[in-house]
This record gives sequence, C-alpha cells and structure tokens, in this order.
Amino acid sequence: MAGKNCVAIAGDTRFGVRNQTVALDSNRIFKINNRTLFGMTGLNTDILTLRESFKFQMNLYNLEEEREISPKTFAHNVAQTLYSKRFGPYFITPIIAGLEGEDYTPFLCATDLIGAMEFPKSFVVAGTGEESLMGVCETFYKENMEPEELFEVVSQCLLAAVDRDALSGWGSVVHVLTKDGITTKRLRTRKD
Amino acid sequence: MDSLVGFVGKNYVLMAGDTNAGRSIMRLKDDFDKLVPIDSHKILAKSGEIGDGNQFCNLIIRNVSLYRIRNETELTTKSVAHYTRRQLATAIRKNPYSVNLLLGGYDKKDQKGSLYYLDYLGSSKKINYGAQGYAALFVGSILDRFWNEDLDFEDGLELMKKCLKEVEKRLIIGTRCFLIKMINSDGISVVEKVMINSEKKNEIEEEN
Repeated sequence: MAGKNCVAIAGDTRFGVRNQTVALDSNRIFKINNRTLFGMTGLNTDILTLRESFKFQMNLYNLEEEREISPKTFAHNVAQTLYSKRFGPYFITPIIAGLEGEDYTPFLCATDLIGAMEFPKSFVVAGTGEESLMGVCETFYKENMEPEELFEVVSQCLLAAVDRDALSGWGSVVHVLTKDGITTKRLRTRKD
Repeated sequence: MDSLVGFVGKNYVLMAGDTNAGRSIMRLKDDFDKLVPIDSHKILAKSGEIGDGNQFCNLIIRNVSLYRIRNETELTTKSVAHYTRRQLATAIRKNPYSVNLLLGGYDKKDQKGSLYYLDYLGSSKKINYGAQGYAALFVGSILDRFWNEDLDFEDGLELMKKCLKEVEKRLIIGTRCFLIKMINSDGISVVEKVMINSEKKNEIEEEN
C-alpha cells in the first residue's frame, strides 16, 4: 500500500502444503535495495528460485551500472523474466513496492504469473486471500497517509484478511519503506 | 507411505525413518535404511519412489564428495540444502524426482545442528522439527507441544519414541519398525532400531 512518500508491504509467514502447515517463519518479502521491496506469493519452490535469480541479476546490475536499480525498472525486469516462461510459467504472484525518483514518489506494481503488469496508485494484493484483502484495503485505504498510519492500516488489513482465509496466517511481517529506511515489525495472527 | 521424523536438539540432530520398503500393497523389505549419510555429519532422509530416492541421493553424495575433493573443505548443511533444492527445482520441469527429503546435519563451525525440509518440487525450509509423509499429520502436533530448543539427548530420544509410537498406533498402514539415527559433533551414529508393538491390550480390556 502507498502512503505519503512511503510504501508498506505486509505478508503472512506460513509455509504449508495444502492443508498441512510445515513452517511458521517463511519469509516471502525481500529487500532488493534501499528503494525497493519485492514480495511473492505462490509456489514455494518458484519463490526461492526467483529470489535467487533476481538476487543474481541485481548483483550483476549493481556491478555493471554502478548504481541501484529503480523500482520501475525492477518491475519491468520481473515482468520480462516471468513472460520468458510464458508456456511453462513460474506459479507466483509478485508485488513490487518502492520509492521512485528524487522526491521518493511511491511506486506499486503487481503482475500475474506471466508478467502482465499493473501500476495502481493505492494498493496491490496477492495470494490465497486476495479477495478478502482487496475488500478490506478498499475500505481502509485513504490517500497521503503518514508512515505510522500506513503501518496501522496495512497491519489491520492483513490481519482481517488472513483471519478469513484458511491457508494464510500463522504469523505475519510488515515492512514500511520510507526515505529514512525500512522498518520491520512482526505481528501475531490467528494460529489456525 | 514412508514416515520420516526429525528434530534438532541441544547439540545434536535426531532423525528417524520407518524401515519398510514396499510396492503398492506388498512389503518388499522391512530393514530398509532410509537415512542415507551424505558425509560424516549429514543425513539425507528420503521418502517416495525408491528408485528416484536412490538415484537422487547418489547424485547428492557424489557431488558433495567432489566438492570436498576439489576444495579440500566440507560443505555446511545450509549449502548442501541449497544445492539439493536447486537440483530438485531444475529437475521438476524436466525429469522430476519424486522424493521428499529431510536433510539433517551438524556443523562443527557453528556447533549447531540444523534440519531442512525439502520437497519434490524444490521447496526448502529450515525447520526445528518436522516430518515427511503421513507421519507429519500425527507427529506435527506432538512436536509442537513437547519440543523445545534445549532438549538434551535422553529427553529427545523419549520424544522421538513418543512420536513413533503415535505413528505406529494410528497410521493404518503398518509401520512397526523404525530406525533412529543421531548426528552430533562426533558424527552419525545409529541410536536404536525400534520395534513398536501397541497391540498389547491393557488388563481391563482382557478381563472383559
């Protein structure tokens, strides 16, 4: 979700196989650089493979370009990587959140599993509870939220949505990205 | 059909697997060791197709060995888990191995044990305790309740036996015999080959 010169990403930390929970501390939100956060939902194996792939690509980018990648460029990179597997896709739904440019404009991008991008101004959702998330984010979102308020809204939206979704929950993590850095907090959710 | 259980204790890793090898309804072998040593301080517990398990474990063992020969240094458990995951992930879309694994290892450098859950798709997760197969459904809650990170060896073994008793009692597919192995700073050792029989009725029922 986007606020005033800040963005936040929140996700749950359950790793499960259909109805069986295997682990409670699976991290699916990754920091690309100080301006970009990248979260994925979907098949764990593809999340890990793509995490490694993007880490490799970003390391190479940093060495070649001698600068950090901007969120928009990274989002396009993600879309291209996903489309390259158009007929044998990675089963993930990525979300990119970042602060773009000199004036730290919030940037949000969501794509589907084959890289069709959308750039909403308010919020993006993904995962098994995406319908619940969409509803509750629509209700609580307002423009130009300060980081503290943004954190509250994002946390409450996530908590409300995972309570309704059987396959989500078992702990969550919220990252708030401002020009001063990333704040990370863990929340307790329902453990069922 | 295979049951694998593992957890990390104070400075050891305890792993157990059933010793049945079967095909469809038939039990082919009842002393089958599913806890394969990769090197002196790591075990790969395999479940699933027997052939795939053999081939894949051989692949991992040989490549870990090759790394050691080339670089004169042993890999950490994390690295082996990473490498194994990568092999599974590249194979899934080409020539899948239907094996689900538990990788347990003890690292002398950190003086800590670690356990990884690896899936046939290439999912990987570092866990403190866990199981593969139908055992996971029964044993998950027992370990949630009784595991803590300071389990010493005797308590750990008791907890493991508690888990295996539950698997034997409640899993409809007969798995009476389990092999328990431990990894600690001295290496891999076979703790016990456990034969669990919960058929004995208690006295009240016999009287009736």
